[in-house]
Amino acid sequence: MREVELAIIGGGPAGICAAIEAAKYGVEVTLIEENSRLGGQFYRRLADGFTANQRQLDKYYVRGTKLIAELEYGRKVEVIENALVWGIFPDKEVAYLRDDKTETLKAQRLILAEGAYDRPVPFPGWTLPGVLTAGAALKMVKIEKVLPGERILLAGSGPLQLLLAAHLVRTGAKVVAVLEASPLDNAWKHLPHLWGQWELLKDGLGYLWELRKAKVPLLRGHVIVEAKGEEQVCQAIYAKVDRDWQIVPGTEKNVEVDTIITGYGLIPSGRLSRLCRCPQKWDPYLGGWIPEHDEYMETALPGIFTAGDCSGIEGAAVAAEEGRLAAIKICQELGRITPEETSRRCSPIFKELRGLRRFESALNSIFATRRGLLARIPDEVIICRCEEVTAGEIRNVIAEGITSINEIKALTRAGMGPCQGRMCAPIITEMVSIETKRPVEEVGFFAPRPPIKPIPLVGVARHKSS
Amino acid sequence: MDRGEPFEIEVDGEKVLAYKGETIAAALLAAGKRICRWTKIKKEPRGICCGIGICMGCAMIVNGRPNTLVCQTLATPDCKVQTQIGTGETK
Repeated sequence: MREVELAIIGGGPAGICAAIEAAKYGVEVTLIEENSRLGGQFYRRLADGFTANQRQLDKYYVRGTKLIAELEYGRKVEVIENALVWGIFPDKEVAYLRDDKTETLKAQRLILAEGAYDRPVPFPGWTLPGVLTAGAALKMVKIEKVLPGERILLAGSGPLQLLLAAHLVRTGAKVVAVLEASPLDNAWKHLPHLWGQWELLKDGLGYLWELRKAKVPLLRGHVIVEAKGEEQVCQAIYAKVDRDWQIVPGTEKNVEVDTIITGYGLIPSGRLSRLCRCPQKWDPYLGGWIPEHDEYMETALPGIFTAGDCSGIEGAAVAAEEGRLAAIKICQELGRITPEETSRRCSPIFKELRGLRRFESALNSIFATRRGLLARIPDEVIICRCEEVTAGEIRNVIAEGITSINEIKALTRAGMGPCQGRMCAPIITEMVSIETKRPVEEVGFFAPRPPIKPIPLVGVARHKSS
Repeated sequence: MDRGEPFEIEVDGEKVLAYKGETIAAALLAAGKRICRWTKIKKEPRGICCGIGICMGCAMIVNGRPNTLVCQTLATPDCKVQTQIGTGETK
């Protein structure tokens, strides 16, 4: 089997920066990316065939372009695109699918930079066509310049909603309102922590100004309650929430819409680290389950590192720095640099990270999902979208005294479908914790098994040995 | 912004405009077609939801291959897309 010094899985900000840094010291790097182009969700590239002038692209797009150019310029990084990693086996053997064929490689060191995905939050009608996630909508409007609908309601929490709303308005959609679940009543307490991060603050204020000009109402302390429609969304019901984000009865209102976009922040994508059996810890402010790691991003399993949003939701700037830290530490472990050189290179990064993390943690304190949001999901609402298992069915099993998430899976089939619980597991975990009043740490997570994403059987059968 | 070269794809027998470089999902949404599949058990409609190949909402039959996630699949000239019923039996 082919052997490399360092394999990085995921070509977003963390993976790209890690690859650039490691290659500087002559480490043999292979960067594996699922999409056809590097960038991840944050630095997603325009499709081949699409062109735009600099003015039409935001500064983050331009930054991503520069970073990718730096990676490609004269450096010896092997980039494998369109490659879906579906398993990691003992001795850091990585199996990925490309062109319907499985290829494998063995790495001395691994960086898992899987990224994150939109937090699924169920409500009646959330499975109807016309209900999309913020991530999907942003990709569509920014990269493909297609509007997901004409009359749009945004519901969720956090600044990403503002960015999305601004893009939708610019592209010509009618945004009927942006619902911000957080009542923002304690937000002023966090203001000192935002001090110093002028660029991020300026971005936020810019979006607010744009929405004000477009007369888009921003409703604090409100959530989506129900999406109504026969074959697609035609109406939304929203309501006020209390400080725990629990709906206040009697405050419901109707609005005619054809699209509802939910953006309750992100969840770390932790399947590869769980597949490797990296010990995990629960941190609701960082998005949920994350692999335990030290300050250099090495997990509890020697030689396996984590970087970016999959190690805790802290945004692209933090992801980039984490990628660099992991790469520098790996260079030291592989004997390319001395421990002194490592500290010299890492100390400015640690300093930068302190500022960025203070900002991100203030945002997370304000906008992290409160439990009231999931406390009263009506029984008829589908939780497992693949196997069509409802909240009521899951509650019945919990009421019978079954509280292990893997037993719930076995009894209800929730989490057994092709998404392998990526959508339902975070919800079920919270449901068990709420219903049984036990901490989430005791509820656990689904044990992932390879293949972690649906792949055609021929993909396993056809093994290309390299 | 300029799109890639335009061409047609076939969706349930109808012609739909698509551009080189865009996903089938983008072409469907631009044409106002939102239902990608009907679920196996409750026979409910599903559409594009997560946009990054996780939720399975947009599983359709593309060129005869069921369970193809159209949010992850680029449109190609003359590709044939069909609404999926259940796990892939055609209508």
